[in-house]
Amino acid sequence: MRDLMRLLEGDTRPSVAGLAPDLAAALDVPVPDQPRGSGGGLRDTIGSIAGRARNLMRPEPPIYGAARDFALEFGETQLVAAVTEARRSGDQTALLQALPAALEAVRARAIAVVSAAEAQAQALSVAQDLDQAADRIESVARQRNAAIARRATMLKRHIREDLNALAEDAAEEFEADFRRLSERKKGWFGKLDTADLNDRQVIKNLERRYQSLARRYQDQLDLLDREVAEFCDEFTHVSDEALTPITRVEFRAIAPRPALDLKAMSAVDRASNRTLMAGAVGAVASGAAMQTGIMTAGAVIGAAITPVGAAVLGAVALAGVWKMFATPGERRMRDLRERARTLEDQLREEIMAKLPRFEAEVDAIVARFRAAAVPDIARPRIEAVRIREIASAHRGLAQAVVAAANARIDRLVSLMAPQTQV
Amino acid sequence: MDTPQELLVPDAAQDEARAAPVVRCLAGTIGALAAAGGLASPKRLETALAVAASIGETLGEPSLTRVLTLRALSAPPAPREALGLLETGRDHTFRRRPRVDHARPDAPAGG
Repeated sequence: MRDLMRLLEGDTRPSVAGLAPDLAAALDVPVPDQPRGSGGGLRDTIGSIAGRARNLMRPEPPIYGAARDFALEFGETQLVAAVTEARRSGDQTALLQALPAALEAVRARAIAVVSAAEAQAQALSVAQDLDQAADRIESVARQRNAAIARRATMLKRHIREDLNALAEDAAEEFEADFRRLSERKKGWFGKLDTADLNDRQVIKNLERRYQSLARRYQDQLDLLDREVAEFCDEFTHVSDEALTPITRVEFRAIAPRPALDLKAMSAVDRASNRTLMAGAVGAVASGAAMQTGIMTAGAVIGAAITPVGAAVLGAVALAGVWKMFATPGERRMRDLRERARTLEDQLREEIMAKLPRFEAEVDAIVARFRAAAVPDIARPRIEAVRIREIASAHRGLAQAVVAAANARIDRLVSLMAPQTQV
Repeated sequence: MDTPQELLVPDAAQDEARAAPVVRCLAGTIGALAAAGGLASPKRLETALAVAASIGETLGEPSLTRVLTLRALSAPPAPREALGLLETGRDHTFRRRPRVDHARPDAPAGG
Protein backbone atom coordinates (compact mmCIF):
# COMPACT_ATOMS: atom_id res chain seq x y z
CA MET A 1 0.00 0.00 0.00
CA ARG A 2 2.98 2.30 -0.33
CA ASP A 3 1.68 3.76 -3.58
CA LEU A 4 -1.67 4.40 -1.98
CA MET A 5 -0.05 6.31 0.84
CA ARG A 6 2.03 8.37 -1.60
CA LEU A 7 -1.08 9.01 -3.63
CA LEU A 8 -2.93 10.29 -0.61
CA GLU A 9 -0.05 12.23 0.82
CA GLY A 10 0.15 14.06 -2.47
CA ASP A 11 3.92 14.42 -2.60
CA THR A 12 4.09 12.60 -5.90
CA ARG A 13 1.69 11.29 -8.46
CA PRO A 14 2.37 7.59 -8.35
CA SER A 15 0.66 5.19 -10.67
CA VAL A 16 -2.45 3.82 -9.05
CA ALA A 17 -1.73 0.71 -11.06
CA GLY A 18 1.22 0.21 -8.75
CA LEU A 19 -1.30 -0.95 -6.18
CA ALA A 20 -2.34 -3.93 -8.26
CA PRO A 21 0.47 -6.26 -7.14
CA ASP A 22 -0.20 -5.37 -3.52
CA LEU A 23 -3.90 -6.05 -3.93
CA ALA A 24 -3.20 -9.33 -5.70
CA ALA A 25 -0.76 -10.38 -2.97
CA ALA A 26 -3.27 -9.55 -0.26
CA LEU A 27 -5.88 -11.65 -2.04
CA ASP A 28 -3.34 -14.38 -2.87
CA VAL A 29 -4.12 -14.28 -6.57
CA PRO A 30 -1.75 -13.70 -9.49
CA VAL A 31 -1.77 -10.41 -11.34
CA PRO A 32 -2.88 -11.08 -14.93
CA ASP A 33 -0.04 -10.84 -17.47
CA GLN A 34 2.56 -10.43 -14.79
CA PRO A 35 4.99 -13.04 -13.54
CA ARG A 36 4.56 -13.86 -9.93
CA GLY A 37 7.16 -12.31 -7.69
CA SER A 38 9.74 -14.09 -5.67
CA GLY A 39 7.39 -14.28 -2.73
CA GLY A 40 5.91 -17.46 -4.10
CA GLY A 41 2.60 -18.78 -2.97
CA LEU A 42 0.50 -21.85 -2.73
CA ARG A 43 0.27 -22.25 -6.47
CA ASP A 44 4.04 -22.05 -6.79
CA THR A 45 4.55 -24.47 -3.97
CA ILE A 46 2.62 -27.30 -5.50
CA GLY A 47 2.33 -26.30 -9.12
CA SER A 48 5.90 -26.62 -10.26
CA ILE A 49 6.70 -27.82 -13.72
CA ALA A 50 8.73 -30.68 -12.30
CA GLY A 51 5.82 -31.86 -10.25
CA ARG A 52 3.51 -31.77 -13.19
CA ALA A 53 6.00 -33.71 -15.30
CA ARG A 54 6.26 -36.31 -12.57
CA ASN A 55 2.50 -36.66 -12.54
CA LEU A 56 2.53 -37.35 -16.24
CA MET A 57 4.92 -40.25 -15.71
CA ARG A 58 3.22 -41.62 -12.61
CA PRO A 59 -0.55 -41.13 -12.47
CA GLU A 60 -1.60 -40.21 -8.95
CA PRO A 61 -4.82 -41.03 -7.12
CA PRO A 62 -7.70 -38.58 -7.80
CA ILE A 63 -7.73 -37.54 -4.14
CA TYR A 64 -4.32 -35.91 -4.66
CA GLY A 65 -5.59 -33.59 -7.38
CA ALA A 66 -8.81 -32.88 -5.55
CA ALA A 67 -6.95 -32.13 -2.32
CA ARG A 68 -4.46 -29.95 -4.20
CA ASP A 69 -7.26 -27.95 -5.85
CA PHE A 70 -9.08 -27.67 -2.54
CA ALA A 71 -5.94 -26.47 -0.77
CA LEU A 72 -5.28 -23.94 -3.53
CA GLU A 73 -8.80 -22.59 -3.55
CA PHE A 74 -9.16 -22.30 0.19
CA GLY A 75 -5.58 -21.45 1.10
CA GLU A 76 -5.03 -24.46 3.33
CA THR A 77 -1.28 -24.54 3.76
CA GLN A 78 -1.15 -27.65 5.94
CA LEU A 79 -3.10 -29.54 3.34
CA VAL A 80 -0.62 -28.33 0.75
CA ALA A 81 2.20 -29.80 2.79
CA ALA A 82 0.31 -33.06 3.20
CA VAL A 83 -0.32 -33.33 -0.55
CA THR A 84 3.34 -32.64 -1.27
CA GLU A 85 4.42 -35.29 1.25
CA ALA A 86 1.94 -37.85 -0.08
CA ARG A 87 3.21 -37.29 -3.60
CA ARG A 88 6.78 -37.62 -2.49
CA SER A 89 6.36 -40.69 -0.32
CA GLY A 90 3.31 -42.30 -1.84
CA ASP A 91 1.87 -42.62 1.66
CA GLN A 92 -1.61 -41.14 1.94
CA THR A 93 -1.87 -41.44 5.71
CA ALA A 94 -0.80 -37.91 6.51
CA LEU A 95 -3.00 -36.57 3.70
CA LEU A 96 -6.07 -38.41 4.97
CA GLN A 97 -5.39 -37.03 8.43
CA ALA A 98 -4.93 -33.49 7.15
CA LEU A 99 -8.05 -33.49 5.01
CA PRO A 100 -10.68 -33.53 7.80
CA ALA A 101 -8.87 -30.68 9.54
CA ALA A 102 -8.84 -28.66 6.34
CA LEU A 103 -12.50 -29.38 5.73
CA GLU A 104 -13.32 -28.36 9.26
CA ALA A 105 -11.32 -25.17 8.91
CA VAL A 106 -13.19 -24.25 5.73
CA ARG A 107 -16.53 -25.06 7.36
CA ALA A 108 -15.59 -22.82 10.29
CA ARG A 109 -14.73 -19.99 7.94
CA ALA A 110 -17.99 -20.47 6.09
CA ILE A 111 -19.83 -20.16 9.36
CA ALA A 112 -17.83 -17.03 10.14
CA VAL A 113 -18.74 -15.54 6.76
CA VAL A 114 -22.41 -16.21 7.36
CA SER A 115 -22.13 -14.70 10.84
CA ALA A 116 -20.46 -11.60 9.42
CA ALA A 117 -23.23 -11.24 6.86
CA GLU A 118 -25.86 -11.63 9.56
CA ALA A 119 -24.10 -9.03 11.69
CA GLN A 120 -24.21 -6.74 8.70
CA ALA A 121 -27.91 -7.35 8.41
CA GLN A 122 -28.32 -6.25 12.00
CA ALA A 123 -26.94 -2.89 10.94
CA LEU A 124 -30.20 -2.37 9.08
CA SER A 125 -31.65 -1.00 12.27
CA VAL A 126 -28.85 1.56 12.26
CA ALA A 127 -29.86 2.46 8.71
CA GLN A 128 -33.37 3.06 9.92
CA ASP A 129 -32.07 5.27 12.71
CA LEU A 130 -29.94 7.20 10.27
CA ASP A 131 -32.94 7.75 8.03
CA GLN A 132 -34.97 9.00 10.96
CA ALA A 133 -32.13 11.25 12.04
CA ALA A 134 -31.84 12.58 8.50
CA ASP A 135 -35.57 13.28 8.50
CA ARG A 136 -35.28 15.21 11.75
CA ILE A 137 -32.26 17.14 10.57
CA GLU A 138 -33.92 17.88 7.26
CA SER A 139 -37.07 19.09 8.95
CA VAL A 140 -35.11 21.48 11.15
CA ALA A 141 -32.81 22.54 8.33
CA ARG A 142 -35.69 23.27 5.98
CA GLN A 143 -37.44 25.35 8.63
CA ARG A 144 -34.29 27.30 9.31
CA ASN A 145 -33.50 27.65 5.65
CA ALA A 146 -36.95 29.03 4.98
CA ALA A 147 -36.63 31.45 7.89
CA ILE A 148 -33.17 32.56 6.84
CA ALA A 149 -34.23 32.97 3.22
CA ARG A 150 -37.27 35.02 4.27
CA ARG A 151 -35.15 37.19 6.47
CA ALA A 152 -32.53 37.64 3.77
CA THR A 153 -35.17 38.66 1.27
CA MET A 154 -36.69 41.05 3.76
CA LEU A 155 -33.31 42.51 4.64
CA LYS A 156 -32.54 43.19 1.02
CA ARG A 157 -35.92 44.74 0.40
CA HIS A 158 -35.68 46.93 3.48
CA ILE A 159 -32.26 48.30 2.71
CA ARG A 160 -33.36 49.07 -0.83
CA GLU A 161 -36.40 50.94 0.43
CA ASP A 162 -34.44 52.77 3.11
CA LEU A 163 -31.72 53.88 0.75
CA ASN A 164 -34.27 55.03 -1.77
CA ALA A 165 -36.04 57.02 0.90
CA LEU A 166 -32.72 58.46 2.04
CA ALA A 167 -31.89 59.63 -1.45
CA GLU A 168 -35.31 61.24 -1.91
CA ASP A 169 -35.28 62.94 1.46
CA ALA A 170 -31.74 64.17 0.99
CA ALA A 171 -32.59 65.67 -2.37
CA GLU A 172 -35.62 67.43 -0.93
CA GLU A 173 -33.66 68.81 1.97
CA PHE A 174 -30.94 70.06 -0.33
CA GLU A 175 -33.49 71.74 -2.55
CA ALA A 176 -35.18 73.40 0.38
CA ASP A 177 -31.86 74.49 1.81
CA PHE A 178 -30.64 76.00 -1.44
CA ARG A 179 -33.97 77.72 -1.91
CA ARG A 180 -33.71 79.30 1.50
CA LEU A 181 -30.18 80.45 0.73
CA SER A 182 -31.16 81.97 -2.60
CA GLU A 183 -34.13 83.74 -1.07
CA ARG A 184 -32.08 85.12 1.77
CA LYS A 185 -29.19 86.34 -0.38
CA LYS A 186 -30.59 88.07 -3.42
CA GLY A 187 -27.57 87.74 -5.64
CA TRP A 188 -26.55 84.35 -4.45
CA PHE A 189 -26.10 81.66 -7.04
CA GLY A 190 -24.93 78.45 -5.60
CA LYS A 191 -21.66 79.76 -4.39
CA LEU A 192 -20.70 78.58 -0.97
CA ASP A 193 -17.51 77.80 0.79
CA THR A 194 -17.04 74.06 1.31
CA ALA A 195 -16.35 74.46 5.03
CA ASP A 196 -19.53 76.46 5.47
CA LEU A 197 -21.48 73.88 3.48
CA ASN A 198 -20.24 71.05 5.63
CA ASP A 199 -21.50 72.93 8.66
CA ARG A 200 -24.98 73.21 7.26
CA GLN A 201 -27.74 71.29 8.95
CA VAL A 202 -28.81 69.53 5.77
CA ILE A 203 -25.39 67.93 5.45
CA LYS A 204 -25.28 66.94 9.08
CA ASN A 205 -28.76 65.46 8.88
CA LEU A 206 -27.90 63.42 5.86
CA GLU A 207 -24.69 62.21 7.36
CA ARG A 208 -26.40 61.28 10.61
CA ARG A 209 -29.20 59.45 8.87
CA TYR A 210 -26.84 57.58 6.66
CA GLN A 211 -24.62 56.57 9.54
CA SER A 212 -27.63 55.40 11.46
CA LEU A 213 -28.86 53.40 8.48
CA ALA A 214 -25.48 51.87 7.84
CA ARG A 215 -25.06 50.96 11.49
CA ARG A 216 -28.48 49.38 11.65
CA TYR A 217 -27.91 47.22 8.60
CA GLN A 218 -24.44 46.35 9.73
CA ASP A 219 -25.97 45.14 12.99
CA GLN A 220 -28.53 43.11 11.09
CA LEU A 221 -25.85 41.54 8.95
CA ASP A 222 -23.69 40.81 11.97
CA LEU A 223 -26.63 39.18 13.68
CA LEU A 224 -27.49 37.14 10.62
CA ASP A 225 -23.89 36.07 10.25
CA ARG A 226 -23.52 35.12 13.89
CA GLU A 227 -26.69 33.11 13.99
CA VAL A 228 -25.97 31.31 10.75
CA ALA A 229 -22.48 30.57 12.07
CA GLU A 230 -24.08 29.00 15.14
CA PHE A 231 -26.35 26.93 12.95
CA CYS A 232 -23.38 25.88 10.85
CA ASP A 233 -21.44 24.83 13.93
CA GLU A 234 -24.38 22.83 15.14
CA PHE A 235 -24.83 21.06 11.82
CA THR A 236 -21.14 20.39 11.43
CA HIS A 237 -21.10 18.88 14.89
CA VAL A 238 -23.99 16.59 14.01
CA SER A 239 -22.28 15.60 10.78
CA ASP A 240 -19.04 14.66 12.48
CA GLU A 241 -20.81 12.55 15.04
CA ALA A 242 -23.34 11.00 12.71
CA LEU A 243 -20.71 9.54 10.47
CA THR A 244 -18.86 7.69 13.16
CA PRO A 245 -20.25 4.47 14.51
CA ILE A 246 -22.32 5.58 17.45
CA THR A 247 -25.21 4.16 19.31
CA ARG A 248 -28.72 5.25 18.61
CA VAL A 249 -29.06 6.82 22.01
CA GLU A 250 -26.00 8.98 21.43
CA PHE A 251 -27.21 10.00 18.04
CA ARG A 252 -30.54 11.11 19.38
CA ALA A 253 -28.73 13.12 21.99
CA ILE A 254 -26.80 15.14 19.45
CA ALA A 255 -29.37 15.43 16.67
CA PRO A 256 -30.99 18.85 16.52
CA ARG A 257 -34.59 18.79 17.55
CA PRO A 258 -37.39 20.63 15.80
CA ALA A 259 -38.17 22.24 19.13
CA LEU A 260 -34.92 24.16 19.02
CA ASP A 261 -35.61 27.81 18.54
CA LEU A 262 -34.72 29.37 15.31
CA LYS A 263 -32.12 31.75 16.45
CA ALA A 264 -31.85 33.96 13.40
CA MET A 265 -29.47 34.89 10.83
CA SER A 266 -26.11 36.10 10.02
CA ALA A 267 -23.72 38.70 8.80
CA VAL A 268 -21.58 40.20 6.22
CA ASP A 269 -18.30 41.56 5.22
CA ARG A 270 -17.93 44.71 7.24
CA ALA A 271 -15.87 46.25 4.51
CA SER A 272 -18.86 46.52 2.22
CA ASN A 273 -20.78 48.56 4.70
CA ARG A 274 -17.85 50.68 5.62
CA THR A 275 -17.41 51.44 1.95
CA LEU A 276 -21.07 52.21 1.66
CA MET A 277 -20.94 54.50 4.64
CA ALA A 278 -17.75 56.24 3.59
CA GLY A 279 -19.10 56.56 0.10
CA ALA A 280 -22.25 58.27 1.24
CA VAL A 281 -20.40 60.60 3.57
CA GLY A 282 -18.05 61.42 0.74
CA ALA A 283 -20.99 61.97 -1.53
CA VAL A 284 -22.53 64.34 0.90
CA ALA A 285 -19.37 66.39 1.19
CA SER A 286 -18.27 66.30 -2.40
CA GLY A 287 -21.79 66.58 -3.72
CA ALA A 288 -22.32 69.70 -1.70
CA ALA A 289 -19.00 71.07 -2.80
CA MET A 290 -19.82 70.43 -6.41
CA GLN A 291 -23.16 72.10 -6.10
CA THR A 292 -21.48 75.28 -5.02
CA GLY A 293 -18.96 75.02 -7.79
CA ILE A 294 -16.14 75.53 -5.32
CA MET A 295 -14.24 72.31 -5.19
CA THR A 296 -11.33 72.33 -2.87
CA ALA A 297 -8.42 69.98 -3.44
CA GLY A 298 -9.39 68.02 -0.37
CA ALA A 299 -12.94 67.56 -1.56
CA VAL A 300 -11.83 66.25 -4.92
CA ILE A 301 -9.48 63.77 -3.37
CA GLY A 302 -12.23 62.62 -1.01
CA ALA A 303 -14.62 62.26 -3.88
CA ALA A 304 -12.20 60.33 -5.98
CA ILE A 305 -11.67 57.63 -3.43
CA THR A 306 -15.34 57.11 -2.78
CA PRO A 307 -17.41 55.79 -5.66
CA VAL A 308 -20.45 57.74 -4.62
CA GLY A 309 -18.59 61.01 -4.56
CA ALA A 310 -16.86 60.25 -7.81
CA ALA A 311 -20.17 59.76 -9.53
CA VAL A 312 -21.52 62.98 -8.17
CA LEU A 313 -18.62 64.76 -9.80
CA GLY A 314 -20.43 64.05 -13.04
CA ALA A 315 -23.25 66.23 -11.81
CA VAL A 316 -20.82 69.09 -11.32
CA ALA A 317 -19.90 68.89 -14.94
CA LEU A 318 -23.56 68.79 -15.91
CA ALA A 319 -24.29 71.78 -13.75
CA GLY A 320 -21.40 73.62 -15.33
CA VAL A 321 -22.66 72.92 -18.82
CA TRP A 322 -26.13 74.01 -17.85
CA LYS A 323 -24.82 77.25 -16.38
CA MET A 324 -23.24 78.19 -19.67
CA PHE A 325 -26.52 78.02 -21.58
CA ALA A 326 -29.01 79.31 -19.07
CA THR A 327 -29.98 82.87 -18.51
CA PRO A 328 -29.28 84.06 -14.96
CA GLY A 329 -33.00 84.51 -14.04
CA GLU A 330 -34.18 81.16 -15.25
CA ARG A 331 -30.99 79.56 -14.34
CA ARG A 332 -31.49 80.23 -10.69
CA MET A 333 -34.74 78.26 -10.39
CA ARG A 334 -33.69 75.59 -12.85
CA ASP A 335 -30.44 75.28 -11.02
CA LEU A 336 -32.19 74.55 -7.77
CA ARG A 337 -34.43 71.93 -9.29
CA GLU A 338 -31.70 70.47 -11.39
CA ARG A 339 -29.32 70.28 -8.52
CA ALA A 340 -31.85 68.52 -6.37
CA ARG A 341 -32.79 66.09 -9.11
CA THR A 342 -29.21 65.45 -10.03
CA LEU A 343 -28.23 64.88 -6.46
CA GLU A 344 -31.13 62.50 -5.89
CA ASP A 345 -30.49 60.58 -9.10
CA GLN A 346 -26.81 60.33 -8.49
CA LEU A 347 -27.19 59.44 -4.86
CA ARG A 348 -29.75 56.77 -5.67
CA GLU A 349 -27.71 55.45 -8.52
CA GLU A 350 -24.62 55.18 -6.40
CA ILE A 351 -26.44 53.59 -3.51
CA MET A 352 -28.08 51.10 -5.83
CA ALA A 353 -24.71 50.35 -7.34
CA LYS A 354 -23.68 49.06 -3.92
CA LEU A 355 -26.79 46.96 -3.52
CA PRO A 356 -25.67 43.96 -5.61
CA ARG A 357 -22.66 43.60 -3.37
CA PHE A 358 -24.77 43.93 -0.26
CA GLU A 359 -27.21 41.36 -1.61
CA ALA A 360 -24.37 39.09 -2.62
CA GLU A 361 -23.12 39.23 0.96
CA VAL A 362 -26.54 38.28 2.24
CA ASP A 363 -26.73 35.44 -0.28
CA ALA A 364 -23.26 34.28 0.73
CA ILE A 365 -24.43 33.99 4.32
CA VAL A 366 -27.47 31.99 3.28
CA ALA A 367 -25.31 29.81 1.03
CA ARG A 368 -22.98 29.15 3.96
CA PHE A 369 -25.88 27.86 5.98
CA ARG A 370 -26.96 25.57 3.14
CA ALA A 371 -23.42 24.34 2.61
CA ALA A 372 -23.36 23.30 6.27
CA ALA A 373 -26.86 21.85 6.41
CA VAL A 374 -27.03 19.87 3.17
CA PRO A 375 -24.27 17.37 4.00
CA ASP A 376 -25.86 16.76 7.38
CA ILE A 377 -29.08 15.77 5.72
CA ALA A 378 -27.52 13.92 2.83
CA ARG A 379 -24.85 11.91 4.57
CA PRO A 380 -26.97 10.00 7.10
CA ARG A 381 -29.40 9.24 4.30
CA ILE A 382 -26.67 8.14 1.92
CA GLU A 383 -25.07 6.05 4.64
CA ALA A 384 -28.43 4.42 5.31
CA VAL A 385 -28.80 3.52 1.63
CA ARG A 386 -25.30 2.08 1.59
CA ILE A 387 -25.78 0.12 4.78
CA ARG A 388 -28.79 -1.52 3.19
CA GLU A 389 -26.94 -2.26 -0.03
CA ILE A 390 -23.93 -3.60 1.86
CA ALA A 391 -26.13 -5.85 3.99
CA SER A 392 -28.00 -7.18 0.99
CA ALA A 393 -24.92 -7.74 -1.19
CA HIS A 394 -22.92 -9.20 1.69
CA ARG A 395 -25.66 -11.66 2.51
CA GLY A 396 -26.03 -12.70 -1.13
CA LEU A 397 -22.30 -13.15 -1.58
CA ALA A 398 -21.93 -15.02 1.67
CA GLN A 399 -24.67 -17.41 0.66
CA ALA A 400 -23.06 -17.98 -2.73
CA VAL A 401 -19.61 -18.48 -1.23
CA VAL A 402 -20.84 -20.87 1.44
CA ALA A 403 -22.80 -22.85 -1.14
CA ALA A 404 -19.69 -23.05 -3.31
CA ALA A 405 -17.52 -24.07 -0.35
CA ASN A 406 -19.99 -26.75 0.68
CA ALA A 407 -20.06 -28.11 -2.87
CA ARG A 408 -16.26 -28.40 -2.85
CA ILE A 409 -16.35 -30.02 0.59
CA ASP A 410 -18.98 -32.53 -0.51
CA ARG A 411 -16.95 -33.42 -3.57
CA LEU A 412 -13.83 -33.91 -1.55
CA VAL A 413 -15.68 -35.96 1.05
CA SER A 414 -17.03 -38.21 -1.69
CA LEU A 415 -13.49 -38.75 -2.95
CA MET A 416 -12.24 -39.40 0.55
CA ALA A 417 -14.86 -42.04 1.30
CA PRO A 418 -13.26 -44.94 -0.63
CA GLN A 419 -9.87 -44.10 0.86
CA THR A 420 -11.08 -44.11 4.42
CA GLN A 421 -13.00 -47.35 3.94
CA VAL A 422 -9.86 -49.20 2.92
CA MET B 1 -32.65 39.96 -6.26
CA ASP B 2 -34.50 37.28 -4.36
CA THR B 3 -32.60 34.78 -2.30
CA PRO B 4 -33.01 31.24 -3.70
CA GLN B 5 -35.15 29.14 -1.38
CA GLU B 6 -34.12 25.64 -2.39
CA LEU B 7 -32.23 23.27 -0.13
CA LEU B 8 -30.95 20.74 -2.65
CA VAL B 9 -29.93 17.48 -1.00
CA PRO B 10 -27.96 14.99 -3.12
CA ASP B 11 -28.95 11.33 -3.00
CA ALA B 12 -26.68 8.28 -2.88
CA ALA B 13 -26.40 8.03 -6.67
CA GLN B 14 -25.41 11.68 -7.02
CA ASP B 15 -22.90 11.33 -4.21
CA GLU B 16 -21.47 8.22 -5.85
CA ALA B 17 -21.17 10.01 -9.18
CA ARG B 18 -19.15 12.73 -7.49
CA ALA B 19 -16.73 10.29 -5.85
CA ALA B 20 -13.14 10.21 -7.00
CA PRO B 21 -12.54 7.79 -9.90
CA VAL B 22 -9.78 6.12 -7.93
CA VAL B 23 -12.37 4.76 -5.49
CA ARG B 24 -14.26 3.07 -8.31
CA CYS B 25 -11.06 1.82 -9.93
CA LEU B 26 -9.70 0.27 -6.76
CA ALA B 27 -13.00 -1.29 -5.72
CA GLY B 28 -13.41 -2.78 -9.19
CA THR B 29 -9.88 -4.13 -9.10
CA ILE B 30 -10.38 -5.75 -5.70
CA GLY B 31 -13.57 -7.38 -6.92
CA ALA B 32 -12.02 -8.49 -10.18
CA LEU B 33 -8.90 -9.97 -8.60
CA ALA B 34 -10.77 -11.70 -5.78
CA ALA B 35 -13.28 -13.20 -8.18
CA ALA B 36 -10.49 -14.26 -10.53
CA GLY B 37 -8.98 -16.26 -7.68
CA GLY B 38 -12.28 -18.01 -7.16
CA LEU B 39 -14.96 -16.97 -4.77
CA ALA B 40 -15.66 -20.34 -3.27
CA SER B 41 -13.25 -19.42 -0.52
CA PRO B 42 -14.76 -17.73 2.52
CA LYS B 43 -11.25 -16.60 3.39
CA ARG B 44 -10.89 -14.75 0.09
CA LEU B 45 -14.22 -13.04 0.55
CA GLU B 46 -13.21 -11.96 4.03
CA THR B 47 -9.84 -10.75 2.74
CA ALA B 48 -11.42 -8.84 -0.14
CA LEU B 49 -13.82 -7.09 2.21
CA ALA B 50 -11.04 -6.34 4.67
CA VAL B 51 -8.88 -4.86 1.90
CA ALA B 52 -11.85 -2.81 0.69
CA ALA B 53 -12.47 -1.56 4.20
CA SER B 54 -8.83 -0.60 4.63
CA ILE B 55 -8.63 1.21 1.30
CA GLY B 56 -11.99 2.85 1.89
CA GLU B 57 -10.82 4.23 5.22
CA THR B 58 -7.65 5.51 3.63
CA LEU B 59 -9.51 7.16 0.77
CA GLY B 60 -12.08 8.66 3.12
CA GLU B 61 -14.91 6.75 1.42
CA PRO B 62 -15.39 3.66 3.59
CA SER B 63 -18.99 2.85 2.83
CA LEU B 64 -18.79 3.68 -0.86
CA THR B 65 -15.68 1.54 -1.31
CA ARG B 66 -17.43 -1.38 0.38
CA VAL B 67 -20.52 -0.94 -1.76
CA LEU B 68 -18.53 -0.78 -4.98
CA THR B 69 -16.36 -3.74 -3.98
CA LEU B 70 -19.40 -5.84 -3.18
CA ARG B 71 -20.92 -4.90 -6.52
CA ALA B 72 -17.70 -5.88 -8.25
CA LEU B 73 -17.61 -9.17 -6.35
CA SER B 74 -21.20 -9.92 -7.28
CA ALA B 75 -20.66 -9.19 -10.96
CA PRO B 76 -16.90 -9.10 -11.38
CA PRO B 77 -15.29 -7.25 -14.25
CA ALA B 78 -12.51 -8.98 -16.16
CA PRO B 79 -9.25 -8.53 -14.24
CA ARG B 80 -7.43 -7.22 -17.30
CA GLU B 81 -10.12 -4.63 -17.86
CA ALA B 82 -10.01 -3.61 -14.22
CA LEU B 83 -6.24 -3.34 -14.22
CA GLY B 84 -6.26 -1.46 -17.50
CA LEU B 85 -8.59 1.14 -16.07
CA LEU B 86 -6.50 1.29 -12.93
CA GLU B 87 -3.46 2.08 -15.07
CA THR B 88 -5.15 4.82 -17.05
CA GLY B 89 -6.87 6.16 -13.96
CA ARG B 90 -9.93 6.95 -16.02
CA ASP B 91 -13.35 7.11 -14.56
CA HIS B 92 -15.33 4.24 -15.82
CA THR B 93 -18.13 1.86 -15.34
CA PHE B 94 -17.06 -1.72 -15.61
CA ARG B 95 -18.72 -3.87 -18.17
CA ARG B 96 -20.46 -6.49 -16.11
CA ARG B 97 -19.87 -10.09 -16.93
CA PRO B 98 -22.43 -12.79 -16.37
CA ARG B 99 -22.45 -13.79 -12.76
CA VAL B 100 -20.34 -16.85 -12.05
CA ASP B 101 -21.99 -19.73 -10.29
CA HIS B 102 -19.42 -20.36 -7.59
CA ALA B 103 -21.42 -23.26 -6.21
CA ARG B 104 -20.35 -25.41 -9.14
CA PRO B 105 -16.97 -26.91 -8.35
CA ASP B 106 -16.07 -26.96 -12.03
CA ALA B 107 -17.10 -23.34 -12.56
CA PRO B 108 -14.41 -21.17 -14.13
CA ALA B 109 -12.60 -19.14 -11.56
CA GLY B 110 -12.59 -16.10 -13.80
CA GLY B 111 -9.81 -14.07 -15.30
